Amino acid sequence: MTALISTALRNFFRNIKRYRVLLMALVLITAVLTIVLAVVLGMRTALYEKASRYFAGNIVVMAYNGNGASRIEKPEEVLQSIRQLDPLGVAVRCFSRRSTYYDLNNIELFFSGYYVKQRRIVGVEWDLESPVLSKFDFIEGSVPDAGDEEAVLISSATANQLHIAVGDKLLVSILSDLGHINTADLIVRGIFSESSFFGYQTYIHRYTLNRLREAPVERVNEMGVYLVNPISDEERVAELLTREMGKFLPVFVIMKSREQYTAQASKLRDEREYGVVSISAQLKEIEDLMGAITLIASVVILMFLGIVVVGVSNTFTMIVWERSREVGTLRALGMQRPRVIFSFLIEALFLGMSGVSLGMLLGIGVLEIVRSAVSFPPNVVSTLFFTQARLPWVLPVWGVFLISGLVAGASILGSLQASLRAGRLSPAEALRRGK
Amino acid sequence: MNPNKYIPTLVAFTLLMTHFSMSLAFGDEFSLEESRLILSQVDNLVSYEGKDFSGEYTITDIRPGEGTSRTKMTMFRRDSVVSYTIIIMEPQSDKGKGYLRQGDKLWLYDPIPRRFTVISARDRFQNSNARNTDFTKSTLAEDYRIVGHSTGQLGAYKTDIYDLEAITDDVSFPKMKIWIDQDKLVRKFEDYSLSGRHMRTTAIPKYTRLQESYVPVQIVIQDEVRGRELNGKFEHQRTVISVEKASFMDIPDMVFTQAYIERVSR
Repeated sequence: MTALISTALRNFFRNIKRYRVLLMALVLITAVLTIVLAVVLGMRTALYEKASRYFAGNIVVMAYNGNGASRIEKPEEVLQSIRQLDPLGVAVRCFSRRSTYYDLNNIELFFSGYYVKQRRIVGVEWDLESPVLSKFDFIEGSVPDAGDEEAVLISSATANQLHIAVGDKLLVSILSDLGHINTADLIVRGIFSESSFFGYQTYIHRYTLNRLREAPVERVNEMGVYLVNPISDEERVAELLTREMGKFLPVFVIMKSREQYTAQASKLRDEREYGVVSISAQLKEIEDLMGAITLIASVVILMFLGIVVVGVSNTFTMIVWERSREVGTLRALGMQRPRVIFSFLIEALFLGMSGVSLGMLLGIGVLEIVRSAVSFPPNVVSTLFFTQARLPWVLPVWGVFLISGLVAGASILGSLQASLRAGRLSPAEALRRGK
Repeated sequence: MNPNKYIPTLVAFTLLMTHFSMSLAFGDEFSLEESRLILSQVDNLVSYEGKDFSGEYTITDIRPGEGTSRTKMTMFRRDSVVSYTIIIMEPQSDKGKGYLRQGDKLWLYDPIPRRFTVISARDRFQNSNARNTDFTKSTLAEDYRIVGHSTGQLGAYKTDIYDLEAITDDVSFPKMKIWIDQDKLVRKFEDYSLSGRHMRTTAIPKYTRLQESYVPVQIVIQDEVRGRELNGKFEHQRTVISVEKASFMDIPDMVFTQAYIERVSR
């Protein structure tokens, strides 16, 4: 086998001029595949990151009694369940403990006579969510210190409307849970760029929000878990967390769509029950959009691969024809038909792998140059799918194997017919053809 | 008629008034009863129990740096059942819109989709600095208690200044400060958020006397947190409300119905 491989390798390099055009095509195809896959995965990861930050985690624990509002009355038990995830082999990045306030009409921010309405204001614990909040596309400022109850983080859209900068004092006004207009003077610690899809929410300390709401300062409305591998782990973690919480608390089924989420929130219950919802359930529309993009990309890639198969097939047909005398000589010297076939197939594999190696280098190079050199202006796509206005790309190990498999496979598939034909040649016929 | 049966009431009233005078003199805290007594005098002068009220209102909204808008409307009010009907006459874009209040319920009628929408009494009226609650009868005595008192001069008026705190959750602002002149008319009030932030100031420079009641015919509302700095000076958003053709003539019951608003809005 080693002899066969070394022969194929020698033949590959000896015929490299014949393979040149084909190799260039494979390099380009691999580069395109790498770029498309890495960008789609990068955008999906960036979207998950932003969505999880908005929704309090990749997996969020809610507790309902039927009035539509979530309130975690037993946060210690939920925390205990979250802590059980680590021994179960789940890589947890961090967790959140939030108070949330949603009101279409009564959240107003004021600065120097300017004002803006918000739909959602979120009370967070800066230290708990720091690993996630620090990934914000900060235009100015950063995540506040752990105990900073005067701090507020606002979006760049809000900052532009208010003409406010980091360090300025922002007046926040809401209607408290008891129906009173309540206000707080807070200091802008950070301004971040965020997609309008997530509604420009404002982040303040949980205790501050609860005080504004005239609610107990320790109140928690939802708790979330941020995962290291959200896309692959989400479903499993939702099940594990529901199972763990079930040991201490009354739980309901995992909410797998926004409809289920709405239904569970308003379902009347004898006691408050706990349940989990995942980001993919919250992002059904965007997941559909990403699915459509992935499908289109897959069709384009398959078309490219089809072209590769045809190109390799034509080239190998020519190569086998041109090397008939060599095949005849080898056959006359006693080389068996399968070894002839494998010799050509291994050459095709070398061709494919060379294309994969160079193509990946080219693709990654292009991605890295675009990422570091091009800053995209804020728009619907860039704020939703990009990270800090830069093109995000991720190429996991499985992606490398997938691309390698596809390109090398296409190369082998393309060469198969010509290789079989070479194997079928009799030594006499091959030597005659080669004259 | 036995005059003795009134003696306990008279004694109680005298004691209450004595305590009230002492409180004023020595700055004691006001009891709920004392608060109610003072504030109900204020309420009574501008509440029209037992009679209907109508008038034509002009609301001028001044937004520095953005422009001025004017809304004209006709108001029908029946305080005995806490109802009002408001029909917007101007601007043309809002003509036909109507507000109907019946007790705690408040609807906004939009003539384009011909639909009534439930709105909150706390919402801003036509996006001005006035709130929907500003057009109903004065209920200071029901909603607030006095927590502080001082006296002061407000322009030409000698006034008692009261700090008020809400005792119900039905009010927009949980804290207020009111200036009451010698005739027991409110001349100015300041609205505060729960945390004590000054949010709005309202001045009532002009009243007109109609029968035994007073009708505020000019109200100036200044937003303390909205405005613009123009030429180096901060100018607040302001709303000026003028009332004309104030009347206590009887109003038919059907005016306080959705059907009426739909009919006049056509």
